[in-house]
Amino acid sequence: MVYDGILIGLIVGLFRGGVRYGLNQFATLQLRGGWIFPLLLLFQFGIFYMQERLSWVASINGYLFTAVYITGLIFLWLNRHHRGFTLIWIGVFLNFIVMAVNGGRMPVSVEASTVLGTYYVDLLREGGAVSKHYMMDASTHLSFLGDIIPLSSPYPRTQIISIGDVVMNVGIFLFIQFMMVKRGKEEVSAAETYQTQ
Amino acid sequence: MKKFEGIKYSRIVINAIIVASVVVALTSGYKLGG
Repeated sequence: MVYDGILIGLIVGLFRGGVRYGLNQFATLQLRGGWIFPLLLLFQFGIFYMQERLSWVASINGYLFTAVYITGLIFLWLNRHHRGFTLIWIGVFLNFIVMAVNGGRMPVSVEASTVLGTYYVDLLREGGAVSKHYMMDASTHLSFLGDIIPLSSPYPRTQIISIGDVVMNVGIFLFIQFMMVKRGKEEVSAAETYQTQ
Repeated sequence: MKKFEGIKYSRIVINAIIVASVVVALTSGYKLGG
């Protein structure tokens, strides 16, 4: 589900709008502060790497993940005029809320995680390497917003996702469709007017 | 291939990285990259 909204959106968009139009539109896309998102991803990888080696990083990783989400929400908000970004924002916000009330980490349902196999269930129980996540228990707040939805065969990739992930991917899909598929004259004109402001 | 002339491929790559980063950085799915 992580990349699925993008992949499906691109494939459907190329079929609906044509390759040339789609590529042109994608090339002209301008996101406000777009550079921040790759940085946030690198920062997260940095946390994953450092927390294995420095205990003080591991002790504050919840705050660091929370900071990543707050920064992401701010920059998504700046781009809310793009169709689909409001849904992406809502999805990220749902993930942020459940993480924020649970110490900055995403709770994962043990029952749902059984589709991943014993290795990932054990990893979750130990609370080790996958520190963005932790095993859901009775003390977990807003557990319905955690990773509770198991995806497995016939779905091509086995994963556990949250309601926020679903909302977010629908937003990404709509954003890509809006960008890659030719619209009516009025809509195009309105979007161009906005961009030139 | 003439019909693909004039497309800024460097912008496509940059935008693809940005959009992918939004999703990967801010998703919560367990078993990332799986």
